[in-house]
Amino acid sequence: MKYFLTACAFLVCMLLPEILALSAVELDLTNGNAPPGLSHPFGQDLKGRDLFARVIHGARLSLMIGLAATLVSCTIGTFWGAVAGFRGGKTDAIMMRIVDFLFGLPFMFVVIIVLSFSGRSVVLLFLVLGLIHWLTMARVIRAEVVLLKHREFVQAARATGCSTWRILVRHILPNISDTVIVYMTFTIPGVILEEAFLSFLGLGVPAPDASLGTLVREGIVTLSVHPWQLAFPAAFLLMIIFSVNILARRIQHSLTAHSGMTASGINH
Amino acid sequence: MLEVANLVKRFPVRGGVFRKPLAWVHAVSDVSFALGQRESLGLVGESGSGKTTIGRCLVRMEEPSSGKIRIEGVDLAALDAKALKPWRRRVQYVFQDPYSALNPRMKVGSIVGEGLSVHTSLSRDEIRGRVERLLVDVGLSEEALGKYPHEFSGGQRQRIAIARALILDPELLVLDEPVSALDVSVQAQILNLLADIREQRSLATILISHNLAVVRQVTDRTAVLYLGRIVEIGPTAGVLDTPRHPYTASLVASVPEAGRPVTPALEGEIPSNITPPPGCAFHPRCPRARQGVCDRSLPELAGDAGHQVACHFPLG
Repeated sequence: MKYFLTACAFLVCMLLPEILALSAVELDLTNGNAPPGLSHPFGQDLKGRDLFARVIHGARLSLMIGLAATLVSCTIGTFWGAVAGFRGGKTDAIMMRIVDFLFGLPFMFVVIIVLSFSGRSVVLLFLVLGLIHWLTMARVIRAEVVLLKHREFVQAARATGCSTWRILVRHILPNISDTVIVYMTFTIPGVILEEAFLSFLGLGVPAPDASLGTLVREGIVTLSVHPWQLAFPAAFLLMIIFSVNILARRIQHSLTAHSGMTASGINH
Repeated sequence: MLEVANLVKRFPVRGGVFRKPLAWVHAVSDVSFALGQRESLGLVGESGSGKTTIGRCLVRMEEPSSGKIRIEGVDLAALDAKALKPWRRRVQYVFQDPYSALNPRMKVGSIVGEGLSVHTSLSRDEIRGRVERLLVDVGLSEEALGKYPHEFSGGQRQRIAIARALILDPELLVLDEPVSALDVSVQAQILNLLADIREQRSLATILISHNLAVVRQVTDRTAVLYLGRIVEIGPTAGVLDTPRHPYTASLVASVPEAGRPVTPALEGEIPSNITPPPGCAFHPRCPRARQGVCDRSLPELAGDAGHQVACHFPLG
């Protein structure tokens, strides 16, 4: 029940466009900039496209990019951090210095350059966003693994003759899954916000698709005349980020309550 | 069955930009002993005496710095990870703290059966059957198989840990303070279980403990360690009833007894094992130490084969 509302909202965003056969691209040039009304609850944009459909489509795209980029970052980060933490010594030092080095780069700047030069695509967008977030993930996971590695049940597994791979998969990863899940849910809103930021700069998803960031950017232009064109996408963006954050906190609380382990103290 | 010769373990104390070793902690220095089939040896000493490190070297959780650990003439200390694997099942370890020794995310069945899935090609059903039988042997019910460790008490967890160590039918069991984390009422149960196990299986045990009562109950022979060296070794009754090393004597005297005021056993702290005292490491705290002898030369283990002591001026 706790997660019911979030799940519903998520499903609505994912399925509604298909069910209602909403078109976010159908033009209606004679009704450009029409205010909200019965047939178009959020009004219409400059080219007469239904803003409700555009917002729902945009929300779906933002969520998908958020999820995909988070998956990319958590996969790389977990693997990197687990190997570094478990191997220790020189491997650890080299791998974590690479992370430190990448952390030092002004990442948004690099992302903007990459996206400006390489042509825009959704896949590239979530790869690039995922590549930012794996760094923190790697650090968090490494710290957990270093702690776990010295726990006696891991040493017992080693003394029994378990291979490194088996120890990682059977003994280490299950014990850090809480951290991974919590960190993942905290990463999603961050990624969505960054995608919106890039879209706002005009570097986001290519037309005719539009994410919430693109819609906000279009809305800003006409703010003084047609304020609803900004209000609806901005409100959606806010709600998505808030709700995923609340969801993440809920998950964190319930996981820490269940296992009795300490919270990882991840904050955004 | 087991022969340990000149075992040395030093830990580096690292520092500086390049993490070079600045100094060495001498955890175990030149320790030798032998253990017969079905024999039980107690390792006794204060914390920092190196008793746990010796145990951990035996199962290669620590790499010995030098020395030999021989079973059937094969030096385990010299084997690489791959060659070591078949030997691992013959030497198993039971940890002090049954709470951190069991993976909280694995069911008891998988914890106990893991050794079998790593070392044998038995089917899941066969493993399950063996685990069930062993769980009953160590005093748990068969239903324990499907439960998680947090559903058990400390004593039950230690039974699970013992079952994990026994599943591979080891020839040597290293017990690191197996009861010191448990309630006194539970300690007796676990000690009885260990006694039963020794009776039923042909198994040598090494018991690491600071509790002399436990050592007396469980072991045939006892080695007393001080600062990484064996200072006295012999039959448990002989060592504890008629100690010959002043350190052993002070250990025995420090055990509280009803109706007798506890004599403060020793002055001072155990010295740093980064810079151990010259000569006999015990001389700064020893009531019998004589200047010019004990602070100069290191006493060797001497005496008849049964009861040896490393002291210039032994008691008795």
